[in-house]
Amino acid sequence: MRRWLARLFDLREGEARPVVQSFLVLFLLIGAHTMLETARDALFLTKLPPKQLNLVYIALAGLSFFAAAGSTRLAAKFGRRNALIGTLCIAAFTTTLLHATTPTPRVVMALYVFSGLVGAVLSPQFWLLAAQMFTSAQGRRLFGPIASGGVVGGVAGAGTAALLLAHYPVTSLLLVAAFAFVGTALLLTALGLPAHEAPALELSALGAVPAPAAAKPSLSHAKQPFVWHVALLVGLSTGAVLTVDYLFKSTAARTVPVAELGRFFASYYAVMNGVSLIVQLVIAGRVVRRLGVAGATGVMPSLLLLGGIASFLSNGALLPVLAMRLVDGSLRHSLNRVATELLYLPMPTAVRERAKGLIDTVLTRAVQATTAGALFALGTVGVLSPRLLAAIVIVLTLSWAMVAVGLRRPYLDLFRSALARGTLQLGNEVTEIDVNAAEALVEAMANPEPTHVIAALDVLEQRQRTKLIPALILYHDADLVLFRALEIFGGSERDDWIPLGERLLSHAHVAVRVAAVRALSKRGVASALVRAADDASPTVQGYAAYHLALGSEEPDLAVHPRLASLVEAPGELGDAGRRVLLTAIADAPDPRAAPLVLAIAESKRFPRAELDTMLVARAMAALLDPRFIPYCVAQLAFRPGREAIRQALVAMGEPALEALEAALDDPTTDRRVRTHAPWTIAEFGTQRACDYLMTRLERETDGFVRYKVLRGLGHIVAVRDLRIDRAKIEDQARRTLVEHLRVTALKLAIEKGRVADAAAAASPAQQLLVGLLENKRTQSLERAFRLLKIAHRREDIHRVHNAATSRDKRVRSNAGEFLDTLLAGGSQRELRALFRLVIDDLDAAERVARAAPYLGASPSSRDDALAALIADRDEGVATIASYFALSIGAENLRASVDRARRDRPALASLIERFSILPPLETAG
Amino acid sequence: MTEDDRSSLLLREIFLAGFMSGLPAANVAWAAARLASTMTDVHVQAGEVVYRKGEPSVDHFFIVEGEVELVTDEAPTWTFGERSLIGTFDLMVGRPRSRTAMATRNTHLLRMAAQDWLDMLEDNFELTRSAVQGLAAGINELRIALGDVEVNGAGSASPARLGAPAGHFGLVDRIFALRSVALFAEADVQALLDLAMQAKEVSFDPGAAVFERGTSNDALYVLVSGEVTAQRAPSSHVERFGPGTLVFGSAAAAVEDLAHDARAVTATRALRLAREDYLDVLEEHFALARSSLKAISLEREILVNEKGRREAAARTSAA
Repeated sequence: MRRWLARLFDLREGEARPVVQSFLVLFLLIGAHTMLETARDALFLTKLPPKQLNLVYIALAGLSFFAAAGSTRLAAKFGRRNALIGTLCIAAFTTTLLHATTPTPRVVMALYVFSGLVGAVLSPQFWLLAAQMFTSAQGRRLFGPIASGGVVGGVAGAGTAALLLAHYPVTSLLLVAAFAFVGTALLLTALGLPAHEAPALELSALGAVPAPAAAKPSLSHAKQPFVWHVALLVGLSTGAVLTVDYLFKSTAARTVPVAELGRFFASYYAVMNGVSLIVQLVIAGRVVRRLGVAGATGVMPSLLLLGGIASFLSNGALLPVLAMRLVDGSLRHSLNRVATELLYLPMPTAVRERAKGLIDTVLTRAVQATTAGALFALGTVGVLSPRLLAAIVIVLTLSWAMVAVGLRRPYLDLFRSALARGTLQLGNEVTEIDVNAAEALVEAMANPEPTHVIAALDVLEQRQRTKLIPALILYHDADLVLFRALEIFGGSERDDWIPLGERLLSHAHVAVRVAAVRALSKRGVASALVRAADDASPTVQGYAAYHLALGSEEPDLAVHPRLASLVEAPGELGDAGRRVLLTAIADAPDPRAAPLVLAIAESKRFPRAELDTMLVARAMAALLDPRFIPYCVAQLAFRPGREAIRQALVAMGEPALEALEAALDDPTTDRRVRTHAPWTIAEFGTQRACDYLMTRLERETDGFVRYKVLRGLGHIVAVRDLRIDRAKIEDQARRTLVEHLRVTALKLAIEKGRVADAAAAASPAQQLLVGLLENKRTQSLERAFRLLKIAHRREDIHRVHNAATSRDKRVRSNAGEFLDTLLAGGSQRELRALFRLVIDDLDAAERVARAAPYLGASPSSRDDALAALIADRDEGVATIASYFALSIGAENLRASVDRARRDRPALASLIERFSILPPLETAG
Repeated sequence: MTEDDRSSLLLREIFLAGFMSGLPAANVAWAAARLASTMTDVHVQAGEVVYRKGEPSVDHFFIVEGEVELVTDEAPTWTFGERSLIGTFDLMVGRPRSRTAMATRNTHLLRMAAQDWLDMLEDNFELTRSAVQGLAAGINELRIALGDVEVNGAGSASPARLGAPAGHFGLVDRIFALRSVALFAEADVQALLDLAMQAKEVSFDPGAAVFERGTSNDALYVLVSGEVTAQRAPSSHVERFGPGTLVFGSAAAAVEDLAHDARAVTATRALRLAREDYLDVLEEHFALARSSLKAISLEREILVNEKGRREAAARTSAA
């Protein structure tokens, strides 16, 4: 039975006790209040005309403000649970007192106001306590069953009232209600609040910068727009249900004999609560899961709207009014209550405490008073017909439904704002340099530390403010500063530095002289080249030699005698000459130099260090010759200078992109090239590149290369505003999550095997296999979030991922709620369910069991799992699994290993290379 | 954004760009801009505490101006001046503050959240490589400067774990051999598997050169059996490396052109991992980078403490 209940209500470990306790508390609380309400309504309508209800509503509105303030203070001083206990004691005492008093019209009026206040305070107090006890994810699952306690309590209260009224006067209900209040208080004393009497961890733990601790929570619209949406929702719903209630009661008073009113209400409430219970147990949870929290809030207003229209058309006939009240009574405390309470959960505790106190008591009472006042006024002037009441219901429920529909965006914004970083943003403002910033830069350029000066030069160049660099910087002592300054000046439009630059042509260091020749020749100072040609250093001469060769008729500069000798020169001097030649070519590109660059790049003499590859790449990027493409694609396999090679490929445009696509499509291409091709393709930043990566993502079979494609796609959509097919990406995310669950199932089976087979417990191979599978799980989840980031690029999915993997269950729960709301579309249902399954607090066995619809049959034993892993596409996994399988001597698995070796030469090679098995004998 | 904010941001950027000089310009520009926007300025008076020993390591600090002492009862005091980074060792090792940081002068610091730092390293491999290699190079310099310092366990996570298998070294043996080295000890299994697949098993006869002095050091050697003696510089003391250790310890991750010399003393077997392969795997597995940074930081901390002790002893004897 216990297991059945746990499965029915999806109870997890450690949840049963608090859920049962909360259920019972709410059961007693609502049961008592229902009896109080029954007595109240019956006494009121027998002693006073219905229009007096309006006065009661107005009185309630005024008093509820004080009641809410008192409730908040009580909670702040004594804690949430003790505040509820205290309120219950007060309720019990006052109810007993009212029971002992003769029910005059004034007393009945007082009873009505008192019961209204009790209802207004007790219910929010209970749900605030529940919000402290449960996370958003738990709330989704557990608030339904807990709220059903209220519904059952309502049924029990109404049923008890109906039974009592058959034998006792109405006032007897007050005494029973008082006892029930006392019983609730006693039960609460046993309610364990181990971790949650302390303030719960905030959503801000996802990454937001919380407000200073001392700051009072602000409910201003600018800071808490979501609170205002909830307030609007609650306000409209309060006005609507009050009007429905008024219509119902006035219709009942009009059509039911006075002597039968007590029994009528008792019976009707019993039926209503019965329906509510069915809704709560059977429908509410499914509706919340299907529509999400925001969507579920729209159900009740939509149904009431239909009832309002029917009532309007039938001029307030009994049946549609009863149906409308039935919708109100059955959904208000079940589905609508659960959905509304869940809306409060993601709010920071301080905001929630304040907002809920104000909304659930002051706002609702104020709205009740306003609505009641309006109805009273309309009744006084004699225009309050059933049709007008129905029309008011239509207007209010339509507005309510519209607010509910519009709730999704601010609900997501609530998470977004919490996820956003509270840091300075780099925007256009930063690119502007004001006087203060300029002073700072000038100060930095005067710094004795060369790196500081270079940093300032770099910043000015990035800000396109090179005019602020004084030419006098060419008097600086540090060669590094001179290089950077000459590089910047050479690429600028300025000429004021040229005399100082010419002075550097006779600098003691060769590198500075080369830098000066470069800068000056870029600015068209021909005399610099003439002086360089006569320089004592062959390196400086090399730079000039290229420029002089440009003046020759030679169609191929690779065969120019002076340049050819530079290319072939041995030793370090030769390397320096080749570097300077590449620099000269990049500075003054000429198509005739293309063979020269290729000759240098492919020369065995030329080193492959970072600087050398970078110089080759720069020269190639300047010449843009398609003959460079194969070299550059192949060069992606090597780390030094890879970034420069990428830039060269991007500079070469579409032909280079085609070559990269071909390389990536070809599974025989060097894997290192395939690994680095996706990011290079992404660097093109074009729609074609994006579309290609999207297609490759779907087709790629090498897991690691696919990951690199995913990274590339993530990069390109992050930096460019390109079209992507969101549905396709989400489908990939779905597949990745299924893979995550598949690996979870395999790992579980391997671990179960370890428990069952004590001898294998110490097996290093098994440890590694389990560790490897855990890595795979982590990777697949990370990839699913990366895909989600591509599909929803404006969202800070990285933070959601961090939250989803947090150790704090409240933070994880908030991540789940965010994803549920983000993926609210019908086509996203499976993806939403998978994310929920992966993030939810479940042990591995339960998770795997629930994943059955997505996985099909999961491995039931270690051997099954090993057989699947031996056949895994990942060679590493298959190798370790084979190793482990053979180490435990399972003959049936030996056959799996042999089969895998026959079918997969790469795996066979690995297995043989690592001496797991001798080579297979080949036929013949 | 106010003018003061803009100036402050720009100054931070300049400072960071200077701090990261040596990296490719594009990386510096990207990283400096990103870090500058996430940092906060902290001004402390002389004698004021920046953080206390035992507090959680949630951030670290760049010293822009001034001086900070890092104090603990168990080890010599460290003093850091401008253009230094404090609190990073604890962050890399993943432990609470091991020292109390106190300003000795009025000091301007830039505070950076640990998570921002790690996120940035994860997103930019060149910065990660620079951090790993920069710290490792520092270890090498310290070891040369200190001479015959003995650091128990440095470079080896669990040397006892590794035996001397007689036959061929299988894949699992390789992974465990790699895991016994501190540099790789906390890498994930996938990274270890990738390293194991890249590694080559090599053997040396007694007296054979593992590294020849003057040649480029393009590989890391994890010893499986035997013994290797090595010198980091021509006149530096002779160090001994046994099974389960990395020749030259964590410094091997960085130093490419050592004036080093290493020779097998007995018949020796080792796993040879090309530096480029190590860097390739490092690029793909941030857990390996974290593991390497932790190992290097721990070894470097021991050496810096030893250096401090020797300097204090020298001052005492001089007095």
